Parts: sequence; C-alpha cells; structure tokens
Amino acid sequence: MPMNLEYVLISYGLWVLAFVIYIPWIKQKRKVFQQSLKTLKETQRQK
Amino acid sequence: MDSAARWTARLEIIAPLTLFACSLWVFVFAPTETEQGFVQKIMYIHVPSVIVTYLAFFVTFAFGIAYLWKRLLVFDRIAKVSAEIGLIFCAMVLLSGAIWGRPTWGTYWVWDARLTTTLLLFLIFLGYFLLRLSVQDREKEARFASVLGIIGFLDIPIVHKSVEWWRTLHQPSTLFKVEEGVAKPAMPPELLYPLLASMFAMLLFYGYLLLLRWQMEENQDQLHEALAQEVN
Repeated sequence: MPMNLEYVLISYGLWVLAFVIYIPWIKQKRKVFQQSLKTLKETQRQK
Repeated sequence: MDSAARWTARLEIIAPLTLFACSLWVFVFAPTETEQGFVQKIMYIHVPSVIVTYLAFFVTFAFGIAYLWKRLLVFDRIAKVSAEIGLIFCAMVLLSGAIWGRPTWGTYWVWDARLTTTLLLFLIFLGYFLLRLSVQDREKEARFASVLGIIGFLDIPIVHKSVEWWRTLHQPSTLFKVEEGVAKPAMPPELLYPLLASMFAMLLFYGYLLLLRWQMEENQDQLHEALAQEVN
C-alpha cells in the first residue's frame, strides 16, 4: 500500500463529498422554485 | 429547452467523465513523484481547485463591475453564483492544502503568507454572502455585494505573489519557474500534462456548476418577482 495513502483518500473524498451534497441540493431547490413558479402562474391565469 | 439547460445537460455528462478520465491518468498512468511520494497526487486536486477559485472570483469581479455600470440584475446573478462556487473551491483549496501539509511540512497549518492570504480570501467571500443575507432590498444587495466582490478579488494578486514577496513555507509557483528571465515548466512533462488535463476538467466542471446554479438563481428571482406582483 502506498505511503500516506490516507491523506490522498481524505483529500479526494472531501472534494467528492462536497459536490455530492452540493449538486443534488441545487437541483432540488431549482425544482422547488420551478414548480412554485408554475403553480403561481397557473393561479394568476385562473383569476 | 433553452440553451443554458441544454449546455447544463451536456456538461453534466462531459464534466464528470473528463474528471474521471483525469483521475485514471493521475492514479494509474502518471508516475509517482520521487521526493514526496504518493501524497503528491493531492496536487492534481489542489492546484486545479486554485485555478477555479481564481477564475470564479474573477467572474464575480468582472460582473460586479458590469452590474455597477449597467445596473442589470442578470450581471449580479452571475457574480453571486460564481462567488458561491468560488467559495466552495476556496474551501477545498484550504482543506486539501492543510491535508497535504501534514505529511510534507509536518503540520496542517502555519501562519504562512500564502495560507493566510488564502484564508483571508475565503473570509472576505464568506462576508460577501453574509452581506447579501443582511440586506433585504434586491437592488441594494446587488450594489453592496458588487463593491465587496471587487474589493475581495484584489486579494488574489496578493495570494498569487505572496510566495515571491515573503519568505514562506509554501512552495513557489507549481506550473512555471523563471530561470534567467525565461519561464520554464516547474515539473517534468509526465507530471505536468496530467495536471494541465485536471485543470481543464475542473474548468469544465466549474462551467457546469455555474450554469446549474445560475438557472436556480434565475428561477428564484422570477418567483420573487411573480410573488411581488401577486401582492401588489
């Protein structure tokens, strides 16, 4: 096993973890805003 | 589907694939550096993250100026989104640097000029978001944030030059060194090429994140506008 492997794994692991959390969070928020906007526009049209 | 959504969909496939291909190159084909050993592989994530941080904050700087000049919210939206991505990459730079520092310098952190100015950069842009959160009026928020984004960017030349201006534990420029007035690569090609490829992959990934986050921001602003119309 290469020496100091744990430091490399932690560095790459943290980097991946950051975006594994960030990207789905952004996608989820984008979806919520899109749906809310759509609902609001439909409500305004019905009025 | 508009062009931003189309490019986001394309980059969503291309950017991770390019990053994966670069990781294969780095871990399977690139040689292990003789002095530092395997831990030097951190360089392939640390240096490209630095480049993206610089670019992201430069975009904030440029669009901050554009906003102050034209007063168009679309410019502020791009500046804000890029600053957020820059902040994440800056955190990655600080973390990967600290982890790399432990086996090579014997410590996670020293109050060295490069490290301190990078931490300062991170704190300035953390303040940038605190400022945005503290201002209710959208126009005022954009104006104040643009000014802070411009001031914050001015730290980057100091970060970059810190290893030349002060005696630091941090190594000098990773990519190029100047010998007898001529810039030459600071490492052999078998280490330099995978690094350049990783930088390219990371820039593609930044492009993807920027588009994705920008769409969310646009939807949020549209929703706020629609709600404001509803109230009025």
